[in-house]
Amino acid sequence: MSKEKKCFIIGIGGTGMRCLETFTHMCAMGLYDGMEFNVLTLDTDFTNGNKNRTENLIKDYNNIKKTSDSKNGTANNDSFFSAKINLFEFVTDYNANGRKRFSELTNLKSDNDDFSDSKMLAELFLSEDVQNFDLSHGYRAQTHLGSYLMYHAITDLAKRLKAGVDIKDGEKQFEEFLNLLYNAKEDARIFVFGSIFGGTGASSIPVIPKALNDALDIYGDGKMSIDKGAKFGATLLSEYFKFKKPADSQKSNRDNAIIADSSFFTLNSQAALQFYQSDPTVKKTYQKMYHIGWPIDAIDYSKGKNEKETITGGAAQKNQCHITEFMCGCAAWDFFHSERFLSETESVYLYKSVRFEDNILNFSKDDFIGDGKNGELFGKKFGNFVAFMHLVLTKNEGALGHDGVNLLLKRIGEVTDIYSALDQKYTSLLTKYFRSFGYTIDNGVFVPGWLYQIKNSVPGKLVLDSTAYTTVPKELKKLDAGELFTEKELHWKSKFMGGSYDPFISTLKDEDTLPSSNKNQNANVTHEKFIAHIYNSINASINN
Amino acid sequence: MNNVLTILFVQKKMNLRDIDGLITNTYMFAVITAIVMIGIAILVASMIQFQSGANPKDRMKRKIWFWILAVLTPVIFFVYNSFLVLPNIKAGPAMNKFSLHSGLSPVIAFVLFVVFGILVSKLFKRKKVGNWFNKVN
Repeated sequence: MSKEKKCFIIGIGGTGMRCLETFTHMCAMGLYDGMEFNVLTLDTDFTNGNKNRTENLIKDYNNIKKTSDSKNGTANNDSFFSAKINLFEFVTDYNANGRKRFSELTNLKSDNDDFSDSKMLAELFLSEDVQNFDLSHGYRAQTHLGSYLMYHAITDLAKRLKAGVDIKDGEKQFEEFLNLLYNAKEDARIFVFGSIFGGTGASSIPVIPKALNDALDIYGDGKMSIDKGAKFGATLLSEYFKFKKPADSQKSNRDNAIIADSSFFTLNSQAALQFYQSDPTVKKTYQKMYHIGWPIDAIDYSKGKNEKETITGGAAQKNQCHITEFMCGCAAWDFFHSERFLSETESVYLYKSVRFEDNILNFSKDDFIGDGKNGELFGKKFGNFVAFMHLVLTKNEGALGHDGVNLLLKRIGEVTDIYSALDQKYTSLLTKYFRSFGYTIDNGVFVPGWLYQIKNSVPGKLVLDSTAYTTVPKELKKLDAGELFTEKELHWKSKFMGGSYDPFISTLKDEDTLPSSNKNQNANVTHEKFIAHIYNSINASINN
Repeated sequence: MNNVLTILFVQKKMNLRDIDGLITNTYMFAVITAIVMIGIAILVASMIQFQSGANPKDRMKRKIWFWILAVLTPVIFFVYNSFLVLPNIKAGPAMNKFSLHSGLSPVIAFVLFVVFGILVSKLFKRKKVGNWFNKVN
């Protein structure tokens, strides 16, 4: 086996999208140094809020990285935004006429024989309501239907790709993804993000390796397949959120006769885990499965929203991020960085526990990608990126609408013109990225981004001192980006009475922090150098 | 050295014979004053902390303090000449000979302060003193 891994990530359904959001932020933190990922977003609903939020985030990430030679930039080391992400989208479009329900998709409707094999088989497994609900908002926790339809959607597209007719632009992305997967051969590492208690993710995780393999087989006319040496990993994410119970009035029409009910999510998780424990196909396909659970009350996504009806999907489904999704991102980190258990012939189930005491769940730097060196790495990358965020949003008022990155750039501009090619379009894009990572203040109202959403889901400490996550304007004004950790040895050099901002800017203007002094960073173009420069300055600011 | 002491601790009024030495010392003092004032300007610039936010004032503050000290340099030197040196020079040819240099030396101190300022600012452009002659944006 060659040494170079070819990394693939598939995010499925709403939870899978939020896991991808976490993954993207982990790439921005620099936790996936020097790596390149082919990311496929897989959903049934192209209007889904979480899907669009994630895809826009990845597009912003790629615009931050793009160079004249490559639309997604290149992989860097020892820097922020160091991984390269190639985004591919696939939507099993159920919005078009004749594709909205199971009965339409399968042509059962036009089958006049009530006792045909197809009809009888469908009725054996699927109730009438299940056969007729609107699929455009996903599989609505009907995993028996979802697995079938997802497999069908993927193989159906493969047939059309092979025939080369009626191919939409978006579908060509899937073709490209398939080809990359095939060309990766035994070096392919495929990780799947999704939940096991809901609809789309839960339906797809079991079938996706087989569906992709069969799609390649169809597309390649029997000559293509996923290499036997390729490795699959996935998250087994059990229930951690709930939402408004659907009212009977909402379920009264055919489209909504089936709506996922979060009160069954625990039961769904239990059933799914039993399935994963015993299904020979899944156990043979996946080398590593990461079991991620939430021991505390599920977060209520409907709380404070005054929803008249249960949100089944669409643009309105834009749920907050949760620490369990961060754990999924860390599971992916382990999968791509560790060779442990990859040679097993049967799935290995992995888990890691965090101490829960007196209703407090504290997360230290050692609770994410491991302790020892990994814990140090996580603490450094996470802490430094949060500090960068505070430098941009808090110290330089990026959260208030100013271009915080540009203000930092101007500081460097006082001593060198090497970054003069960076225009305001670039700096405002980077500031925008930090707003989605951290927070914004809109008309005096604090709007949490990814980090604050994650923190809101943790009833305890999240790596940094609680002051690092303050939302109080007065405290934000006084916040010192160099004192985010409780541990004093991780603080930045500071001045008596003056805090760490002044020494940081001095370091930023120092020649030693220029990326050219660290060739390993592979920072070749201006914006890569600028980001590496900030990364170096933050590192050089730390006391020890 | 004797002349320096003469200026500082003069007991009796100087006459024309002492003026040449006094002129030399006055220009030396102008140089020393410019150097001392530049030292103070460096100190002040370093004490002004980098500010964050959309409208940081620190660069402008450093510039303003530089020019305040630049103006103070000849003023201080002129005051020193007026109150400590001139009263100790006999009126007449001695005073006439010195008065031109008394007026010129503060200008020299000012020019030297600015020249030193430019040199220090360009030499240490990565430091806070680099702001003295940077374009504020």
